Amino acid sequence: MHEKKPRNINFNAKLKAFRITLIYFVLGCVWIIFSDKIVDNLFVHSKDIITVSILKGLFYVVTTSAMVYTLIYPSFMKLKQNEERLHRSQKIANSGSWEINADSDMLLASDHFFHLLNLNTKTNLISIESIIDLIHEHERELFLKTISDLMTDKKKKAEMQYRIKPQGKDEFFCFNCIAENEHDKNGKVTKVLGVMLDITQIRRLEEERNLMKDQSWNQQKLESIGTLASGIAHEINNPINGIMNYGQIIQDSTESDSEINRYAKDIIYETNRVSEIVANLLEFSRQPEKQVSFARFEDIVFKTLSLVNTVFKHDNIILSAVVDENIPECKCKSQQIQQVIMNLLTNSRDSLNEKYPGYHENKKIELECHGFVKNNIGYISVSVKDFGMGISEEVGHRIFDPFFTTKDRSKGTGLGLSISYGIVKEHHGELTFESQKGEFTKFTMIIPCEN
Amino acid sequence: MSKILVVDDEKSIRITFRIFLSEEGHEVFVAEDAETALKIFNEQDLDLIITDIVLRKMSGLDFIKIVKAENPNIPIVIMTGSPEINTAMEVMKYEASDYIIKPISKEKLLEKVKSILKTFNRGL
Repeated sequence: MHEKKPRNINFNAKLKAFRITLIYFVLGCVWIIFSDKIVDNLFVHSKDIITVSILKGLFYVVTTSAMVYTLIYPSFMKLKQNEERLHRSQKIANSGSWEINADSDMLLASDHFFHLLNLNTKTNLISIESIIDLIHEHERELFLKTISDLMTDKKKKAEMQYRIKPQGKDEFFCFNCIAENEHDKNGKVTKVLGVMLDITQIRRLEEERNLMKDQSWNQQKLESIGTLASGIAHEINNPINGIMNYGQIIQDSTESDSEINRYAKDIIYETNRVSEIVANLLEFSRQPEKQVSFARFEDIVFKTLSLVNTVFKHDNIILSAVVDENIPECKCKSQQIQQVIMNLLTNSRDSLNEKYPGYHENKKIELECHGFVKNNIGYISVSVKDFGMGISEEVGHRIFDPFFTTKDRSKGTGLGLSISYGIVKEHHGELTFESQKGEFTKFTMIIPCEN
Repeated sequence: MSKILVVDDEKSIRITFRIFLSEEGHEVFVAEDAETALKIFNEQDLDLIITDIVLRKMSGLDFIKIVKAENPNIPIVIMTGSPEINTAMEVMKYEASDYIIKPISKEKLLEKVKSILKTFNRGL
């Protein structure tokens, strides 16, 4: 049934065209035979006959042209409408169509195909090689093999998903590609035709949905970590107090300039350090605070640094901190501010580790905390600058979007900066960044101080 | 000289606090659980009790409740290794006099004990 229908349409079209041609032929013959006879009967002078013949010829050309126009115009219009319809439907479906002829290394594709890949063309032709360059390197081989299987008839139809980076863009888009081959009368493959559908948005939604699930699970995990941290703090602080006290007893019972006395002092010093770290960890893992209170930014910064110091040392990251002394206390949710600083430092660390897996003299983070007054209002600025991967303009536009991440899903949720942004906004502040791709990134948080 | 009871299930705390406080001339009793502590409390005329909140068998807070029911005037200092925002609230709720956040140095411990005894006019 499917095969018959197009044949009927074809036959009807032929019959219609044949009828019109026949009518034109008959009328033409009648005109040629009778017009000459009429002219012969009406005109006697040869001069008049020539003039009338010329006019007759002109009349013939004009009517024929008019007929050709009326016949061709609707066909062209229909063709154009169909083309537009196809373009529009491809635009709505965010899809593009393409075909590759056998023994050709060029790809012929629809306008929207080129639009999706951000390519410019007048001929709708592009080399297969240029397309391959845009495909994710892990999927290039698969693409080539699929095309080859279709060309050699090993496969009749194929459906694959590819990550493709449109020309000049920084991130990959996800496309679903369906292709099949076409044969000539002898069964030889003449071309491969395909459509590709942009499913980036669908994928993103799917991922977001999955992430929501993960997130609620993570939330529960975080809450239990808070409870756990409190228990751990108790468990650690007890023996620490014991060690500290024993150290004190040794110190008390030895000569103040003896070696043992010095060791005992070191024991006490080190136990203080441990308890400080435990206290900071405890504070960080606590449930979010609802009330604002006065806090010193200097304390917040150093508390955060004490938590990340070991990790940074392990990663060979050089961390320098310049913190203004005597910054007045500021009314804020200190835990949340700490979360922002922690987030900025973590991002910088990830970026540096991506750029320099080992040691490098440029593997550094510069943290600065200053207080300043503008229009009679006191502000505190905290900036974190790293010399890592940098942020491209494209990524920069979406950097504060929830769930947007350039990191591997196992590493980042894409929520860090959007939460940080929310926290800073809640404090009536600004979180901005400047960056140069491949050079540096500097995030600056500016919080107004009410007092 | 005052009679001080230290209640903690952590042996090192009991030993070291006893040494520190004894050095200052106090008579120090130690207990590792609330049961032993109550026994000492009933036998001795104590001037101060220093107790951890987390104890085996009975919580430190329940222990305080019993002690306060019998002797509302005795100063009690609670100890905690995991300070929460509401620690101070707990102190007030159980009518304890003060609290200590572990780890606490010898110097600070003695200072605290001294100030509490002074406030409550005990052992002076």
